[in-house]
Amino acid sequence: MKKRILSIIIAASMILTLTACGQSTPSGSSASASPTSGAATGGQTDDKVYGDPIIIGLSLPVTGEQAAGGLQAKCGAELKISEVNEAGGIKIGDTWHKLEMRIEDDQGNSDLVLNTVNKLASEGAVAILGPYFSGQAIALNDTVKELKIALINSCTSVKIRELQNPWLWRNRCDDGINVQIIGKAVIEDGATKVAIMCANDETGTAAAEGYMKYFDSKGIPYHVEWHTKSDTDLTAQISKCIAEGCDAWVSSTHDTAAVAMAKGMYELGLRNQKVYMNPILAQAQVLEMMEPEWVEGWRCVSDFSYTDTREEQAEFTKKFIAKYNMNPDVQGALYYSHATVLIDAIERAQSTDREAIRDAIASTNGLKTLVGTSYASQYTDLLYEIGIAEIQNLEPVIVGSVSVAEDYGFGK
Amino acid sequence: MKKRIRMVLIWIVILTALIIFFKQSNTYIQSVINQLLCNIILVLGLNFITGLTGQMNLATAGMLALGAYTYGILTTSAGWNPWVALLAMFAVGLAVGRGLGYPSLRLKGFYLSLTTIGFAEIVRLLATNLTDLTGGVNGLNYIRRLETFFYKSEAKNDYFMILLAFTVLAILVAYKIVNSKWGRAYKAIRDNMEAAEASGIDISKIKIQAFTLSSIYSAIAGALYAGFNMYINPTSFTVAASQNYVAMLMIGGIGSVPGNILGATIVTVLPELLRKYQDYYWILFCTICLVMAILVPDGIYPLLKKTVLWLKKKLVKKSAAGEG
Amino acid sequence: MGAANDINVLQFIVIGVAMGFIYSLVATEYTLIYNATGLVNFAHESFIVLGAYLFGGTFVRALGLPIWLAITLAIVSMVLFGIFASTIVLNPLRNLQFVTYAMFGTMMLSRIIIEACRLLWGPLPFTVKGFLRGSINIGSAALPTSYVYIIIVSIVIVTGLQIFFKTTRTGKAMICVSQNKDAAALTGINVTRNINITVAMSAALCGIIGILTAPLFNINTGMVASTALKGFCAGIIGGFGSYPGAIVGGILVGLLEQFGIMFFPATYKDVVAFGVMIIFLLIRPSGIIKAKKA
Repeated sequence: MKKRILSIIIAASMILTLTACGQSTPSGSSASASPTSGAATGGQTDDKVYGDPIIIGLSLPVTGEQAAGGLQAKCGAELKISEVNEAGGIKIGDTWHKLEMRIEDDQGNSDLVLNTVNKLASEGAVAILGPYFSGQAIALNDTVKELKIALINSCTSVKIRELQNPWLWRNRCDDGINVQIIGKAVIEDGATKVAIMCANDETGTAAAEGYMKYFDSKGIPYHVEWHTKSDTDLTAQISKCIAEGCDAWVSSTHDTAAVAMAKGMYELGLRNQKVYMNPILAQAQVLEMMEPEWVEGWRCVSDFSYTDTREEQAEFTKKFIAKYNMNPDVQGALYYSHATVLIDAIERAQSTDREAIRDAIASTNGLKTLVGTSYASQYTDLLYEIGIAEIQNLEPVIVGSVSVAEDYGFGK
Repeated sequence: MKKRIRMVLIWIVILTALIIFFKQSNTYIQSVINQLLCNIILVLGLNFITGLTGQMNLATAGMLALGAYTYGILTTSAGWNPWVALLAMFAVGLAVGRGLGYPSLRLKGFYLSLTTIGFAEIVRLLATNLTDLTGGVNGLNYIRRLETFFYKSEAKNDYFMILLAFTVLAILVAYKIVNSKWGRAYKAIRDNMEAAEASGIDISKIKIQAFTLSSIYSAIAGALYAGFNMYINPTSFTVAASQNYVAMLMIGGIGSVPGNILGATIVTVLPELLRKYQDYYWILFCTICLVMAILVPDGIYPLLKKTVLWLKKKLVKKSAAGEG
Repeated sequence: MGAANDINVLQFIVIGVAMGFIYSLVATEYTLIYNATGLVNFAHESFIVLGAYLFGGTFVRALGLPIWLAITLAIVSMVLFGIFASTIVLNPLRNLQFVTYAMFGTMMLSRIIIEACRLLWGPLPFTVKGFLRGSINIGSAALPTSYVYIIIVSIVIVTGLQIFFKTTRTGKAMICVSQNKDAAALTGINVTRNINITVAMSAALCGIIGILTAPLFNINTGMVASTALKGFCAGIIGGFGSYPGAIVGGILVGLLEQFGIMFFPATYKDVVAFGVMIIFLLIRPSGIIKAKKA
């Protein structure tokens, strides 16, 4: 008897879930075209004519390992979108359109990202910001071609450009450029033998290969050690590098291992080292886990730092903190800029057609964003510059910036 | 004979309805359905070991990975024809089945589950680090699909027809096995190993057979999965994924083929339906699983069967009372 | 170079023994539950994570309590949580028909607890500043403080447990329950209450492990994923179900791992534990110290 009641309850709740699901997915409800609709959001009193909202999709890890990065990315994009909405939205032809952001959780997973992108596309998204991981972007190769929807993200793997996919875009320096910038900086800093400590994931392996090639071409000796990005103890690798006589360190790794490296180097007695890393070092969640003395004076390439006092960056930081009560970090700034590029593209395309928007992205030429000036290559790349940050008292301070845009034929 | 015809008709109706539904759905629903079909094949395979024979197998993701990578490497680097590569899946299944089956003879319960976890983790680690062979963390791209001369899948989701064909085949074969002498032998081992042995069942042979069947199913599912997105990378084959497949088995109803299909459907589709709860959808889903594990451990399908029987009895009673 | 190599070896040994003790503690906490209920608690990883979050997230960072008070409160909370989990989940699970059902149940419990941690404390990993940081210099070797504390605390716990089992009434009752539940019930022992106490103890131990590993791994939901698995291996290697076995197995795994790094690529470190376990399962499944209960 108990089991029968139970089975009825289960069946009933399943039916409820199905019906509730059917009702709750909004399908781009159209705002009324009356002149007063603007008053509902932001209090405009001019008589704009409003059409359907433009849907911008976000596919990010809300749950799972990189939920922290995903949160920053979402907030960055959301901030830009709300700024544009407060100013009235985007004007296409004679009608104005508000922007609507829809986010789906892909858990950083290469299988779920197919579902999220498909879902957002079928709900009418005109483009998608994301995904977070390069592996996911590669997994979407065929899907975006079929759906004819453009992606803008921060995925830096050089493999993405090799796909030559006109729908995949990234508004960030790829790993190859970072390697050259860091390699140059390390040599100028006076290194005689470099320790290359990289994670054996996609970014790390690509970076290590890049470093080895670069140092070979400059005649600088080096020693390579590998680790997994989730390693919490790198004393073995560090000891080996010390034994090899390395006096400078370059690294491409991720959160946990970065902390392990800093801790290990300090505990093994290393002080005042020349260390250059990938942008992970400047990210808030990583610095949170460091003790100040571990990383004092360490340098990394970084697209952004919240301590930046330049006007545009400081303004952004102020607004971000006001709205989200946390410091913006690299991903926050990057996704703010991705949104900027996308919105600019929509305005230039003067259309919500996905192909038109993609073409507009592909003709981006000299757009100033928070993290730099964007120029579109034939495939994939939009940004060719990055800053150099030094960690001072656990804060990333921008001490310089390098751009290779001219090498790519831009900005002359 | 009549019953046979009725079954065939029911199958035709269900399949036609499914195909029509698929064709007019948007790409999101199509994508989920394709993943569901792969999962069904996997769970049917897992059923032979964990559902019937009662051995906890957490290596499903590893077996899937072996199938997917073997198929992927054969059709990319080695340039094999996809159908020939598919045949190789049987070989993979046999090898893995023997490989996991023999340890399972000496280990039971927790020891076996830990060994299967170890196996799956080693597979994943090898896939991640043997970059020259497997593409490493960047994954394996440009995997070729199974294609027939009379049906080519143009759009990615059109792979559905091939997946559907294989799923139906897998269901029919599984159904046959579950209800055969083999199936009964598996259940005997799960319920009472000593009694099974006493009644003349060769435990060793049957266990290895169960593992081999399961591995073959997983390997084929792996080939189909690799062909679907034409790209695989090691992050899809984690212990958490293995746990998901076990969840599909447990929630649906262990031991029975309809139960497996039901479980695969619920665990694949439910998280998608719960997406509207945004931040909380994952914890909601896991809580539902836990509640079901405690209250309905045999799975939903046995419960549904009992309910249907109970309703039938009630109707019979009613009509009898009405006539009387 | 010779001196540097000597330092390396000493460091490896210390780290190996310290990590080995962590694995031993993990093996101990799940052996407690296994001996009492016959269940393998796949949710033990989440118990450890929860303990770390309670200590670091709530008591130290949110409430700003002094470390000693935070540790005490964290352990107390874990005890209460253990009783709660035992009543709601573990006791019902142990009465199910097949052991696979119970395993599945604890797997789902693990996910729920970890998701709850993410929702309650946010996805950003964090750490407890200044807690067990720095190193102690022994001769010319620098040994991280956290490892030294781990060794000391582990020895205390392990000795304490042995005394508890041999001398106190509750401890002896727990041994009885683990050997034969029905006989224990006949002698007037309340089996269910005993199980609740055992789970509470295991949860407290998990909390301690979480506090000890917080400075090593930083507090985040995945902090002890591979450690928990290696703890399983350690228990099997040492002798499943035996407490001395848990210690022996743990230290062996810890040391072998470190030596493995010296000869193999460091990225394969996590496989050492599994590899050794599989070898043992093939040639001597009952482990180093033959357990009374297999």
